[in-house]
Amino acid sequence: MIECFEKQNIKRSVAAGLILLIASFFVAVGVAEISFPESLLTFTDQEWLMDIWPKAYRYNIHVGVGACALCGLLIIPAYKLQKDFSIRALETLCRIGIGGMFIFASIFKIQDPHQFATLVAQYQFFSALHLDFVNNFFALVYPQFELWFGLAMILSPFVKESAFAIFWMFVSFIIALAWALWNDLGITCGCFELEGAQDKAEAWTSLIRDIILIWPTFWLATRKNKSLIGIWKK
Amino acid sequence: MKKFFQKSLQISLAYLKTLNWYVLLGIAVFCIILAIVNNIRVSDEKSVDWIGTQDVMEKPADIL
Repeated sequence: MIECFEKQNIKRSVAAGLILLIASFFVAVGVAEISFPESLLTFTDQEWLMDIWPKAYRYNIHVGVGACALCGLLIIPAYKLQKDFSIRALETLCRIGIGGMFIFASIFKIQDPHQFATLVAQYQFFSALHLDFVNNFFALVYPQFELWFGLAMILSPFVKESAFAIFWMFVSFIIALAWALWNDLGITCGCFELEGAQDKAEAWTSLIRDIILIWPTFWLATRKNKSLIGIWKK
Repeated sequence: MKKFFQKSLQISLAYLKTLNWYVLLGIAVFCIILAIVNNIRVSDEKSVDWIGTQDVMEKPADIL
């Protein structure tokens, strides 16, 4: 039996588990607030809140970053309560969360390569490097990387390799979004849905989301290769 | 400062040696093959030329 499930540690493990569940809820709210303004978990988009405070929707990024910060703070007591359980649980949650996010993000891009290629072209990054001809091929291959490395993160024991690849994908997203903002391109991120040139504010929120999510990915890239079940074995 | 960079480089190289490059490159090659298959699989209006780019749209005037 692993240390965290031994008789003397079980109460502490349950308490740590509950705290981590609340932390997971906060990070889900944070990602929803930052990336999905009309989702079920987006509090700033609730009608009852809009009735009381019509400008609430403007503060989605603040609420999102606040929820992520709260999640970070909740990890500390969970870790202090039961270190062994918390690390195993965090690795499981991070793998499912980040891997799942990449799988979800890849699906619409794989279904419509033309739209995604158009979206990539809006960044004007390849044209600045005189590599225009790469745009379409990049738009074809990149979503496949997202899907298969996301799946590998969840289903395979190769967490180090998949997290390493996803880490560099996050780096590329950060560079692309920073580039778009620096050049005032006024484009949306295009991470989860296909939009045209619409909204500069969304590029900011996506940049913040990626800067937050790159840290747990970096942590995963330093973990030992184990399957999700293997994490919970001695 | 020089020592710091040397140490960082050593740690990075040691880390890179621990990675299973067969898995990484295997998935990468698999992805490229699937990308090619996917471009053939999707309908004509959704597929793209292998080499080339797309038009850049005009920036709307009412941008935030």
